[in-house]
Amino acid sequence: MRIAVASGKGGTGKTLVSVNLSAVAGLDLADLDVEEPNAFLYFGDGPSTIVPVSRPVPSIDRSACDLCGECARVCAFNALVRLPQRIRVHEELCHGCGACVRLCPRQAIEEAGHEMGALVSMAQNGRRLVYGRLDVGEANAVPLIKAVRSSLEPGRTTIMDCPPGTSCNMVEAVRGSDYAIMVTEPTPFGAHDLSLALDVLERLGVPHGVVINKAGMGGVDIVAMCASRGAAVLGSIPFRRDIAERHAMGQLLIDRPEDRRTFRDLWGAVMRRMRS
Amino acid sequence: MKELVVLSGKGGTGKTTIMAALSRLVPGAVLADCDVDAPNLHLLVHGETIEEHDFTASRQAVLDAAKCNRCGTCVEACRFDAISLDDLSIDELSCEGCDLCARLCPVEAIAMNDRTSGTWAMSRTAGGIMFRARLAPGEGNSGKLVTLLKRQARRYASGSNASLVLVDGPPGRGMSGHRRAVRGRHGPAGGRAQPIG
Ligand code: SF4
Ligand code: SF4
Ligand code: SF4
Ligand code: SF4
Repeated sequence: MRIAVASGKGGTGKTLVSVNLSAVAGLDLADLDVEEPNAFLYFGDGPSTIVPVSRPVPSIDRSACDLCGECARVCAFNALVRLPQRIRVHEELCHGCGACVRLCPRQAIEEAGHEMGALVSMAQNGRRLVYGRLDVGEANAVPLIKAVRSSLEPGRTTIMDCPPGTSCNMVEAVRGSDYAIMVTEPTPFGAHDLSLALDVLERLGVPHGVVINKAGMGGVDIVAMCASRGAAVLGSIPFRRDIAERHAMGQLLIDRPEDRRTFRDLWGAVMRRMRS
Repeated sequence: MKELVVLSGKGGTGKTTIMAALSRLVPGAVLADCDVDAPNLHLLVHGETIEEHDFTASRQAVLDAAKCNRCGTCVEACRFDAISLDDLSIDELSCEGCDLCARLCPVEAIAMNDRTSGTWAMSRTAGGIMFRARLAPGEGNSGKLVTLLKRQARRYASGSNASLVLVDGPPGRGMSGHRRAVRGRHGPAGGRAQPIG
């Protein structure tokens, strides 16, 4: 089972909810926010396995190519350019659609791997952590997000820290999840971006509920907003300086009984929603 | 004309708040909210929209169920699992617009349509002219939209002799929009004195 934790904007506490919820419930954790993964900071040290992840890009056999230019014509992303002596491949523009490979009349194109990042995994006390690490300068994170997703073990329940916003990365991460937890804060920014993210979840058909982080600040009534959108409020995390500080120092909040209760209750609410 | 870009490594560090404050300090600066995935500057800097335009950067495959003979060629060819023959439809959130299915379909049942990947707008605020844009959900062309927005902001700034363009850059270190927001110019980064900064 896959439970996505997402947010309309960055900085609302997505990682805080993911790491504490997975720890309190003893669940596996995955970080799909591959541009800036940081859930591992809360998982503890241990031996990790690092597997490079590549995406397919064309590789042209110059001895077979007659420079007809068909590949450059069919590439919808301008990743191929015909030069007088050869075809230049702009790997950073390639979406890996395979059109050039398939449509080259001389079968001169094969696919090669372009390394784009790594899949890192580790285990501790029976829990598994996996995350993607996108190489700096890679424009398209989607293939890596897919790689992290398909590395999850189907028989286990995983909490997935997803990219913020409503970009293609967020959509790719959340797509197909059994449930999504949206983390927001009661500010005008939080409300605005939550509303856009709820649109996406509705479109993807992923059942979801909302967690209000920093409850007590900002003064925007998220509960009323959720009611008007038909979204369940799963719980809230109080706006307290010590919470922000402990989280920022890389500590789990559930080490303190009152905060542990907050996340236990939250997990209880998620399970009730998923059953209903 | 100078250009100042405000960036951050992660979300929630205060980029937009700094931008809004800077815009008050430098009257007449042209503002550009290049955080096209989650534009928020307009929530702090209110204004009246003068122009609004669609942003079209890609295409989208559309299947004509009446023509399709269910041969399955397109489904097998699509690398993005966008096509379903169960309900004879193409999922617009999955389609990358590569055109391969349309080229291979033996009965020309698939057409490629322009797709609106977002919108961009120009508005008049108390602090000056602001450009902002919004990528539609699930779209991946943020880099192109950032480039377009900056070009518009620069063009306006040079036309109106504005001395400064203030750019609210996208968060994160992914290159989709970052490199384009910064290209050739530099500015401070919004940072937090924390390990998770
Ligand atoms: S389509 Fe094939 S033969 Fe023609 S230029 Fe491209 S690689 Fe060469
Ligand atoms: S795989 Fe697709 S995107 Fe990449 S170069 Fe070939 S046609 Fe272009
Ligand atoms: S255009 Fe490309 S991505 Fe879209 S449905 Fe056709 S083959 Fe798939
Ligand atoms: S290739 Fe054309 S005819 Fe064949 S299943 Fe796809 S749309 Fe239908």
